[in-house]
Amino acid sequence: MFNSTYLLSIKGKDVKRFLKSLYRRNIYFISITITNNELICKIDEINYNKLKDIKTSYEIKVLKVYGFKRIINSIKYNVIFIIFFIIGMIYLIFLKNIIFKVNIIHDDKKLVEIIKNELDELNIKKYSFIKSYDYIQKVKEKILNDNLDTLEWIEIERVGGVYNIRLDKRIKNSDEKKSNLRHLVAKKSGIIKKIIAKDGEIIKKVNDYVNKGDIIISGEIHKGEDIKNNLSVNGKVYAEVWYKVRVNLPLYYYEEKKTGNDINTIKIEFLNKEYNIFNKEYKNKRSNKKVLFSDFYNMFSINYSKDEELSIVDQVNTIDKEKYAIILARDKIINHLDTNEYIISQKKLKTTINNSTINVEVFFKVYEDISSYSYYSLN
Amino acid sequence: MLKSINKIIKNNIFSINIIENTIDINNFIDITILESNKIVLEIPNGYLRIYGNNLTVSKLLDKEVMINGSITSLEFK
Repeated sequence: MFNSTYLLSIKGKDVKRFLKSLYRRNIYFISITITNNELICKIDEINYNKLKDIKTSYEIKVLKVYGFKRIINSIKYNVIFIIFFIIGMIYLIFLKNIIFKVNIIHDDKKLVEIIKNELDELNIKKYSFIKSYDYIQKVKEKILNDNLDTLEWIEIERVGGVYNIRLDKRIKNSDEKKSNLRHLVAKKSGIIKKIIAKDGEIIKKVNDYVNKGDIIISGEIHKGEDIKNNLSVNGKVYAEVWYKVRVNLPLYYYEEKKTGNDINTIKIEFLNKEYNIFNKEYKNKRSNKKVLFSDFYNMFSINYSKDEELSIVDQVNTIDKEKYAIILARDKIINHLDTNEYIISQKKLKTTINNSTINVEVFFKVYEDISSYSYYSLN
Repeated sequence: MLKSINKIIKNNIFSINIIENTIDINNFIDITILESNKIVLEIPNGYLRIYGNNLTVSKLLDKEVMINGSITSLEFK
């Protein structure tokens, strides 16, 4: 692996004679080219060292070096360049891994200061080393946990030697800022059937009609015409709410159902007409056939067929459809009712048939919770 | 059998291979004459004379020599 060879030029009076004498001194050559008075030869390192020791009047010149020695020679020749190159690369890698700037992008100077101090503690600061992805994730998590009240979200983005830190300040829910004072209002229009008030002043009575947004239980407690107290109302109001539900259904109904009966049979097919030889035929069936024999033009063939019997429902039944539509309409209402809520009554309003669909309109009276809250402040 | 294996391993048999204008000689003893029209080699049982034109040695190892040129005749003596 570390053997080297040399290409030499030997010049002198009689190079052939010199070659002979070298051979007698046990110096061997890998290749030789002899021209007039010049001998160009390739020689290995051991023989080259022997040749170097010989004192001669012949001019011996190294034309080229091959192998490991050549690498060593070129390293020696370029040693300064190589050293500077390595230093340069190390310096480049060093610079590439240094943080030159930490940009915290947010308008709130106080928040920026808090985050900056925290980042400094976590060693994300100017002239420190770039951090790994996992470390950055941990930093993000830690900062978020440390500032749960003030910080909603943090993003640390690296652009070269710059870290851009984007912050999203936590905005406290506006409801929290509002006062706790509230009225109980109607979520939907309806006739009040039951009022459960834990506190507050009841303004509406049972069997009163209320529109959406009307105050039913007020947080303002009156004495005469003056407001004596303000409360946060708690309670529940149930009312009779009216709904009109419209359901459209296709009128025509077709269904194929397997009866479970099947027969294996052989059929002759001639000019697209089938003749069953052995077994009875089902009136409605689904056939899986395999061609056993067929002529060139497919006019005549003998087929093996597995016939499955089908029962077919094919009907136009407006009465059944109407009933089904009413059930669907009822289901629509029931699906959004809670445990204490129920359908008081229902009435079919009208049924219309358009082409292939039936449209049914049903009116419902529903006993339902209509409580909602409206916040207010003293100002 | 062992003898033949030994011969192959040691490879000390005098041999000549001629391929077109190249002659490769193994296990020769010495070069006696080296000229462009005549090369004489000392071989185990005497001398080998190679005649031709523009004869040159293209490889010269311990026991192997390769000669190039237009070879006209070989002579054992």
